[in-house]
Amino acid sequence: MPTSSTSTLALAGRLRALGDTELGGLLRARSVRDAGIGDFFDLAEKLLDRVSIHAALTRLDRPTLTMLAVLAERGEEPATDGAATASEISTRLAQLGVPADEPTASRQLETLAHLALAGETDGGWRTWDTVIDELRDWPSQGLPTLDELAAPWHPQHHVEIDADQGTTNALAAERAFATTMAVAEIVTEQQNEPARELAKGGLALPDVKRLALAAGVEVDDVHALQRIAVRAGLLEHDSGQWTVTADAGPWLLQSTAEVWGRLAGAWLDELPSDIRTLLAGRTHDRWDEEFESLVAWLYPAGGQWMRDRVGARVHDAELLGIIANATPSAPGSLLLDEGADAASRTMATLLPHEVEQVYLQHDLSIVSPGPLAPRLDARLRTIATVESHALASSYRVSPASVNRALAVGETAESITEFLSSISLTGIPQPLAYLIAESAARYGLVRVGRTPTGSYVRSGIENLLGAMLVDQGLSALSLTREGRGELRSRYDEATVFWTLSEARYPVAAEDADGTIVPLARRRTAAAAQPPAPDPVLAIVERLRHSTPDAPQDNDRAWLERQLDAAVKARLTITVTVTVQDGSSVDYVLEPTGLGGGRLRGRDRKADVERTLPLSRITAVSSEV
Amino acid sequence: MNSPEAPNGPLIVQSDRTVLLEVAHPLADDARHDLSVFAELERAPEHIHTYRITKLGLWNARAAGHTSADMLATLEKYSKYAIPQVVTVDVTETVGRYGRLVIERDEEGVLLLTATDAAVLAEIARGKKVAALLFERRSENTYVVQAWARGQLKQELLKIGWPAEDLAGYTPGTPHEMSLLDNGWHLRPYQNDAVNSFFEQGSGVVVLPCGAGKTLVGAGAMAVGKTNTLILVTNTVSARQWRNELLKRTTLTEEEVGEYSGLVKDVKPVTIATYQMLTAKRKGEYAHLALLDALDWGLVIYDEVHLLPAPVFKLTADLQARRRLGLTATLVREDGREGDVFSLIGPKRFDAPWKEIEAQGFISPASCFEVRIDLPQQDRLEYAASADDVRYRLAATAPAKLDVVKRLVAKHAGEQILVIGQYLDQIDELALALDAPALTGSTPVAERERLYQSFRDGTTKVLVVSKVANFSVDLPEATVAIQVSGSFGSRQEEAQRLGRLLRPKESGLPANFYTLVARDTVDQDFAQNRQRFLAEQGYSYTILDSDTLDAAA
Repeated sequence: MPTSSTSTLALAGRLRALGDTELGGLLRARSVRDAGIGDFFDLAEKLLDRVSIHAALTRLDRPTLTMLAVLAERGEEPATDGAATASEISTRLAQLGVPADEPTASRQLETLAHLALAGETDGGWRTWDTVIDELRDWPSQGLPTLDELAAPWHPQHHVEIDADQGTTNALAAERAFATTMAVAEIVTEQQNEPARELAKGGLALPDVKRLALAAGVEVDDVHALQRIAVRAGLLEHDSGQWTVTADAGPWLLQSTAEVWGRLAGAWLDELPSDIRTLLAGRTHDRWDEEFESLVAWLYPAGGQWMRDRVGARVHDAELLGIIANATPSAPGSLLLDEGADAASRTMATLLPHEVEQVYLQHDLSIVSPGPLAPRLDARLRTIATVESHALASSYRVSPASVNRALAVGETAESITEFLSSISLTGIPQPLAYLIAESAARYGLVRVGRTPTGSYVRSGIENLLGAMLVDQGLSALSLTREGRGELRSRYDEATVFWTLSEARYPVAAEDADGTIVPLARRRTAAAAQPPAPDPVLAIVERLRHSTPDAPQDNDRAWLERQLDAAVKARLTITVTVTVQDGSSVDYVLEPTGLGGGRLRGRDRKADVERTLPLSRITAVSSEV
Repeated sequence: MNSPEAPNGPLIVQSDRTVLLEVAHPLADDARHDLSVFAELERAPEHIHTYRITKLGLWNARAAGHTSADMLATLEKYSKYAIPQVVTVDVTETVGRYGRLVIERDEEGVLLLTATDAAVLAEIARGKKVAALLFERRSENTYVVQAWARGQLKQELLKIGWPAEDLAGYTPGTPHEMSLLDNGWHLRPYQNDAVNSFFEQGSGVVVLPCGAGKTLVGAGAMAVGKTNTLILVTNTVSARQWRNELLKRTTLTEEEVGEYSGLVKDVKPVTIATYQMLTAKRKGEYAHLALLDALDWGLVIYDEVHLLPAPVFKLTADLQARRRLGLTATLVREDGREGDVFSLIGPKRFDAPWKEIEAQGFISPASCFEVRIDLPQQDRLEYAASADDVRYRLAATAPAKLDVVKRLVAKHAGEQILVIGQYLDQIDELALALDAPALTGSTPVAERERLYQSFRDGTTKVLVVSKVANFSVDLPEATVAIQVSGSFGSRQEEAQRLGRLLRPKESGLPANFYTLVARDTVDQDFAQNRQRFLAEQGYSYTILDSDTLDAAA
C-alpha cells in the first residue's frame, strides 16, 4: 500500500502531463482557488488533502461512488498491488448486484480520473490512500458502505394528487407567464448593457439591482431568473461579464409559450438522467418530497451543497410552472413524458392570449390590454420606453424615445403608420404633435467629428447664436468657425449629449453627413477591465514554476521529485546513464541531496551509493 | 388562463394588485362602479383606467359592508384573464382581518379590546408599541384599554395590519335642537343615504365628488344628531361658505352659529374653526386646544379630510369618544397618511353612486390646452445666457405670454375667466393689461370675499389670482382658466385648479383650461408632468402653437 507521499509524487507527475484545458477543468471541478500553490507538488498535496477529497465526494452520484468504493476496496487488499483491471471491476460490481455495462463503467472511471480521484496505471485502475482512508471512515459519519452504496433505490413516498388540476394549471400558467416575461426582460437588459460577474461568483450588486428594476422583480429573485436564462443558453459568460448569445434575440421574438418551452426544456436537460427517468414515471404524483429524497439517495454525501442545488432546481420548476402546489402541472407532466415541444403546446392553451392592438393615450402612455405579440412589442420598444412589462404592459413615448427612433431610421410617417396600425383608438393629438414636432426639428443641428474634437453646424444661425451664449453649454467651450458652424475641443458624443440635454434639436452625423445613432454613454463600471480568471492564473503559475527550456524544466522536475523522495524517505527507482551510454536502474532509499549528487542506500546491493545528478535521467516510485 | 365567465371582460387584474379597466368596453361602466367600492382609482386617462387594490381600500370596503366574496366576484365577473392567485389570496386574507379585533365597552363602560381568537391577541401583543397601550388582560380574548389610548391603539394596530373595529360608541354631547328647512328643498337621495349610513355605522368618512353637495351631507348629519357640533374647515373663506349654507338650509340662526378664527372667537352650539387655528402655536404650545373641550361636542365634522394637517391627527386621537364625520372627494392624501384617516376619523362609510351622480350631470368635463409660445430671439438669447435658477422665472414670465392671454380672453369674451399666475409683478402686469382686479395672498379677507362675490355675480368677468385661490373655494361660474405661470405643476395642484372648473354650471358652457408654455425652456419640463397628470385625471389634452391658436381652438 503506497504511502501518501508516494501518492503525491505520482499525482504530481500525472498533473504535469495534463494539458492546460484539462488542468483548468480539474481545478474548477475540484474548486481549487488557493493562491498558495507554487508547483505541481503543492497542487498534488492540495488535491490529496482529506478536506478536499471529502468535498469532491459530496458531488459524486451514487454509481460513481460505488465504482470508487470498489477501487478503494481493492486498494486495501494486501495481496494485490492495489490496482484493479476492468474485468475485475465488472466482476465485483456484478457480485454486488449493480447493473453495469462497459460504457457506463468506463465513463465513471473517466469521471474519477478527471477529478484526480483515481488513475490508470499499467496494472489497472487504482485510487489514492487518502480516498481509501476517507471511504473507510464513511460508516462512522453515517454514510453508506460499499454494500449499502450498491443497494437499489426504494421509493418511499406515494402521495396521490389531491389538488384540483385546474387550480394547479392556473397557478402554473401564471408563474410560467411571469417568469418568462421576467427572463426576457433580464436578457434584454443585458443586451443593452452586460452584467458583471464577480470573481468570487455571482452577479455584481449594482447589476442585480438594475436587472431587478428592468424585470420588475425583487432583488432576491434575479439570481434564479439569471440561472434560468443561462441554463437555456440565452446568456454566456465571457471574460468577467454576461453577454447575450447570438440566438437569444430571435428566440425572444417568439411567442411566450415557445420561449417558455426553451426555458423548461433546458431545465429538463440539466436533470441527471436517472432522476428524469424516475420522475417521468411519476408525473402525476406529488413529487417535491419524492424528488428531494431521491436526490438525497443519489448523492449520499451531497449534504448542504446538494440540498441547495436541489432546492434551486425545485424552485426553478415552480417558477417555470412545471410544478405548482408541489404537483406537476399538465405542461409539467408532458415535459417529463414527452419533452419540451408537447409541453409548450399545452402551455400555450393555458397562457393569456396575446393581443395585437394597444391603447394610445393623451398622457403619451401606451397600454397593451394583454400580452402584446413579441414582434409588435419589439418594434414598439424602438419608439417608446417600457414602463412596466406585465400581463398588460405599458409604454411611454417621450421626445427622447422619438428621437431615438428617428436616429435608427424611423420617420414621422413610419412611426405614425405603425402606431395607427396597432392602435385601437387612433393617435391622440398630443402624441401626433410630439411626433410631428420631433421629426420636423430633428437634425436641425448636426454634430460631427473633427481631427481635434467636434463641430456643430446648423442652417439656423439663431440656434448657433443661442448656443454660444448658453450658460449650460459653457463647459463645451464652443467657438465660432465661420458661418453656420461652431467647434468644440470635446468629442462629438460629449457635445451631442450636452446639446441634447439642453433641448437643442441635435443629431449626430458621420463624415458623409448621414445621421448616425449614438450609443448611450456607458457607465464607468462597465469600462473596467474584467477580473482575471483565478484558475487560469494558477495554471499559468504552475507552468512557470520550472524554467522555460524543456531541458532545464526536466532537470528541475527531477530534482523536485528527488527532493520530495528524500524528505519522505521513499524507496524510488533511479535510472542512471552509465559511461557506455546505456541505462541502469537502481532501487534506492535516498538519504540526501546536495552538491549535485544524490546519496542513497541501494537495498539490493546493500551499499551506499552517490550518484551525480547529471547522470540521472528518470525517477519513478512504486506507484 | 382565460376567464371562462367573461372571456373578454373589461378588467385586467395584475399580480402587482393593479386593475386596468378598458373604458370602451360595453361593460366598463358596470365594472367601474363595482370596482370603485374596494379599489382606488389611480389614473384615469382616456382609454385605460388604473385602479389599485390596497389593504386600506379593502378594509374601507369591508367597513362599508362588502365581503371579500363580493369583491372577488366582481373581479371574476369582469376580468378578461384569470385572477392571479396572489391577488385572490391577498384579498381574502386582508378582508378577513377586519373585524377580528373589536373595541367595545362592558356593562360598566370599561373599554375593552376583544379578539375573535386568542392567537390574534397573542400576535398583536408581541408588538412593543401595541403592548404598551394594553392595560390589563381580562380573559384569554380580552384586554382592558384605557380611554386615552383608544385612538393611538387603533393607529398602531392598523400599522401592524390588524385594523380594529370601534364599536365603543360615543358621548351624546349636549343636545341642540335643529333641523333642515323644509321649504321646497330637500336632500338628494344619495345624500340621505350617506347621512344614514354614517349614523348607523359610527364615525367615518363620506366620499363624494366635487359638486355633489358635501356641505349638505354635513348639514344633514347635524340635523340627525341634533347636538353641539364643531366643524373644522381648511380656510376662512370656506368657513363663511359653511356658515352661509347652514343658515340657508337649516333652522340654525346667526345666534347659534359661531366662527372661531383669527378675527372672531365665538364659541356657539355650532362652531366653525379652521385647521390653521387649531394647529397655531404660541410659545411652542397649541394655543387654541381649549376649543376642543369648550363645549360638549356631540359631532365633529372634518371638511376636506384629505387636506387635514398632520398635527390635527394627534389632537383627534384624543377625541375618539366624540362622533366624527369626514367629508372629502378623495381618500388619497399627498402625504400618504390615509391610514390615520382610517384609524382616527374612521373608515369609509359610504360609496357614492357615481353613476347616479354623473347621470344627474353634476360633473362637467373640462378641456385642457397647452399653448406653446416661441420666445422672440432676444428673449431666447437672454434665457440661454442665464443661470438655471433665473431661467424658470424668465420662462414663466416671458412677455410673449401677455399677448396670448389677451387673445384668449378676447376669444372667451363674456365668460367667467380666471387668470392664474405665480409671480406678483406678473399678476399686477396682467391685471393692468386685462383691466381686471387682482387677488393675491396680501388681499384682505373682506376684499377677497367681495371680489369673489362680484365674480360669482358676473359683475366681474376676469379675475387675476395668485396661488391663494388654490383651496376649497367655490367659483361656480368660472368656465375658463388660464395658467400663465405656476409652481412646478404638481399633481395635487393641477387637480385642484381644474377641480374649480368642475363645479356645476348653470350656463351649460364647456370649461376650458389653458396653460401657457414657453417652447424649449424649463417651462416645458413642467408642462410634460402637467400633461401627464391632467390626462391621468381624465381630461382631454391638446397641444397648440400660439400662432395657430385662433384657427385651432
